[in-house]
Amino acid sequence: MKNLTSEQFTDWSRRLRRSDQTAYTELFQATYDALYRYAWYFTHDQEAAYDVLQDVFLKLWQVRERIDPARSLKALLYQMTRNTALNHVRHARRHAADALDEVLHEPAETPRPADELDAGALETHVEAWIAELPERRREAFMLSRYQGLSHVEIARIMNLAPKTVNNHIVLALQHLRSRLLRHQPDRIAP
Amino acid sequence: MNAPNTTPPDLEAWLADFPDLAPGDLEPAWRLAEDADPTATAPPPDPTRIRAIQHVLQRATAEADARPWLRLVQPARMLPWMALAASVVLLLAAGLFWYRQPVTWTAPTGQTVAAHLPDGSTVHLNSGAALRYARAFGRQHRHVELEGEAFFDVARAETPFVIETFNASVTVLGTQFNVRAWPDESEARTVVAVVSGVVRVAARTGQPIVLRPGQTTSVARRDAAPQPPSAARLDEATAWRNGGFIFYDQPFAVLLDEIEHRFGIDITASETVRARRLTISRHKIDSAENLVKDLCQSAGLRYRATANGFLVYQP
Repeated sequence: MKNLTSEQFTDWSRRLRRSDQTAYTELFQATYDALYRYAWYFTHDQEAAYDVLQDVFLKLWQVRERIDPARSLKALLYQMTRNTALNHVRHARRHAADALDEVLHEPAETPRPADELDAGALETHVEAWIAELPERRREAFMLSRYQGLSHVEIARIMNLAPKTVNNHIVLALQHLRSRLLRHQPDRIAP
Repeated sequence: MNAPNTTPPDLEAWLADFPDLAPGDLEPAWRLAEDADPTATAPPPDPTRIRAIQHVLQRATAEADARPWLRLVQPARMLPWMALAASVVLLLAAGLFWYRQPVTWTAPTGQTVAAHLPDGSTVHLNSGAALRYARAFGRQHRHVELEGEAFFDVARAETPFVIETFNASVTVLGTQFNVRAWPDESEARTVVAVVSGVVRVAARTGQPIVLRPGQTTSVARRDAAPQPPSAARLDEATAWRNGGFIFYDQPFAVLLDEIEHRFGIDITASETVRARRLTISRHKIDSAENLVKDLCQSAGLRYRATANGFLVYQP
């Protein structure tokens, strides 16, 4: 999804407004993997992620005539995925049985042997450092770093001010930077 | 993932709010994070599920095209004839909704069920198995989804009869055969055994293979290719239909899974016990306990009852 240009999304927006089914299929093909993963990020459940993906695209077809080609379709898809996934999570939490199920199906954290945590396994550390970030900061950072979304798009997806998004990302990077400095001072020192 | 290795331009522009940071300060952290995408740990999407979703989406778009009258339902001033038209439309929509719901047959625990399909085919479902198909079954297609085990007696017709399991699809024109596909078993596989006719078995990978009467094949979990055809023990494959329990030199795990399905109980056993192989042939089973007792006697094992089943162990 990262290597798709905004022109491509604008083209899909225009064609969707004209109920172009080929455009709809192309859009699904090009984006389902990233959107499924984004849904999974919230649900941590494959079945739920498939449901979210299907709901988002069904809904997109329903509102196709109201899509504004001047606004980012990519951001719209992420926004819809986020809202649907969060609804799903809220709904699942309300059911005690489901919650129990969640606990039972929680993938067991594989503890890493201590020696692996020494220098060399930097990737492991980076993942852990990212996991330390507050929830929304981590999400904003993820969307910017891995999904190639602009700050304005992220602001729309997460319903924040663009300035707030920027702060989240700078603070996330600063966090990584300070962790790295402590871990391997030579990597950063000029 | 080809993540960009420089921070985005809008980030640079807003660094003004952080006077203690120089523009290049954040680059190493940005580069460092390249391979740490939290969404990369998601299990990859299953191509079968994605295809199923696409199918649903295609139907939704095709429907919208075929039903321009849906646009009439707008908050406008309603005349009596419009109200009448609207209720007719609603009825139609409700009918259509009903029509789109798949038909599901399930065999309750401890029972087998014979499902008679609209095309004249009969499907005998083993205890706990489920069969699903669209209400439109028989006209343009003969597609069914199977979870668990069933014996198929497929009526001959031009349209191929296709059975989708969690990891394979079985295509036939008209014949009798058994499909076993419990996704939750310890060695989950799709096993097909043919009594009469010709059956084609395809998995997600590898060449599809063709089975003739008396032949069997299996598709091991996920992305395995179908095994080459081998001679089937048809009494073993179809014993369940008459309430029998026949297994030739099978691991205990397979036998215990079958008992769990048939009686809806849980059986606990160590890996050593589950790996033991056994041949057993019983034509009538009166209770789960007697069957477990029987198995234990044959294999020199012991058992005791637990809250919802049995524990089988080595003395």
